[in-house]
Amino acid sequence: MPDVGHPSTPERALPIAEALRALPLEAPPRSAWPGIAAAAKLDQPRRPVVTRWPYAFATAAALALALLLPVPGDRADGDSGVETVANGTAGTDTAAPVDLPALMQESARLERFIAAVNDDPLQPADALVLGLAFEDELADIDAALATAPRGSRDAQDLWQQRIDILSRYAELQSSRRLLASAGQSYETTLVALH
Amino acid sequence: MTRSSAFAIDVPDALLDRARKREGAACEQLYRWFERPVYGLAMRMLGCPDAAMDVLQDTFLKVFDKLPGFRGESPFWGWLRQVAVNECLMRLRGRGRDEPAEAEPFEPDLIEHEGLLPPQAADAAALTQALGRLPDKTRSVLWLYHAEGYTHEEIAALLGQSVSFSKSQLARGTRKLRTLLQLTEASHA
Repeated sequence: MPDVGHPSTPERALPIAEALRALPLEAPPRSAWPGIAAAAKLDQPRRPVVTRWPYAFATAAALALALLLPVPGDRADGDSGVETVANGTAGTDTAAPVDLPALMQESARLERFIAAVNDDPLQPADALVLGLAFEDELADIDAALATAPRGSRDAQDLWQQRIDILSRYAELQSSRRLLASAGQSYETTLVALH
Repeated sequence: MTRSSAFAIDVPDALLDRARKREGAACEQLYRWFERPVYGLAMRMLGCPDAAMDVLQDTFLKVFDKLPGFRGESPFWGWLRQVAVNECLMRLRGRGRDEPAEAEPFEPDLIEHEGLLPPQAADAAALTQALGRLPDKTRSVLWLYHAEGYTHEEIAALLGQSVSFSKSQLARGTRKLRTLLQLTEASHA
């Protein structure tokens, strides 16, 4: 699949600086924050309870939009980040053993996808608020992962939760970009639905 | 499209003030903004996920420790990036991978068209793989010069080498990268 945000004109030679700068940023396999916060003995107030309404709103919006809008990329060819996530989520319903490295890779891949989609300095405020809500959710999971024994069932469940959150956010951001390209926004689409 | 350094993020003074007071939420915000740039730089320079994680952790520990002394005369991101680069270079030296400058013959300067990579460079996986096959120091010079915008003088000072050494590494690395990508392209033809 073409790399998101990467030059997609393979017919021409590329200036080396352009090619290097266009490489996607690699995400670490896990958050280093819990270890840093503990080692630095920072003033860590108890994390406030995350307001769930933006998250619920985001999920509802994503689901509603998914019914009406084509998701970027062809779902059938597995080229879309959203499609792979759907497969990953469905996998939890089966009795097949969970492959932890595969979960971690999928999580990292989704983060790269979201980072590429989010590479937009003109995001509306509602998108930024939703992004912060998702980041809070991820931070809670990362904190739990930092203490979960590697390879344990708890760790697998946490990685699966991480993928579920990232997949919903990826789908939401894909829909937002699609709507933006059509000159629309979440709010007008949801109002139109009702 | 050409992007500037991934580190080039403007940080509000108010956030830095809170981080100077070691407020956890402010420090976490800084971490979240710069996590990928630091890890990405370390991966490019060291080529090893475990070492990159160590750089990620140690960079932020040093930044938070030294932040009260940061006066804001230069952008915060540039200062943080310098801490990360120093952490990477320290590990490169520790590995004993530094090749003595005398061991490598002088590489002639690049001529104009040699600054272009073959079309295969548009494939991120192929380019990443080719970069991974360069020697650590050569790859680091290439990355610092082209992706992070360091000058030859700055790179030479960081590495404790001459400016001509930096130029020679850049020319050698660019030629190797072109060759590796052309080989990849030929194998897929």
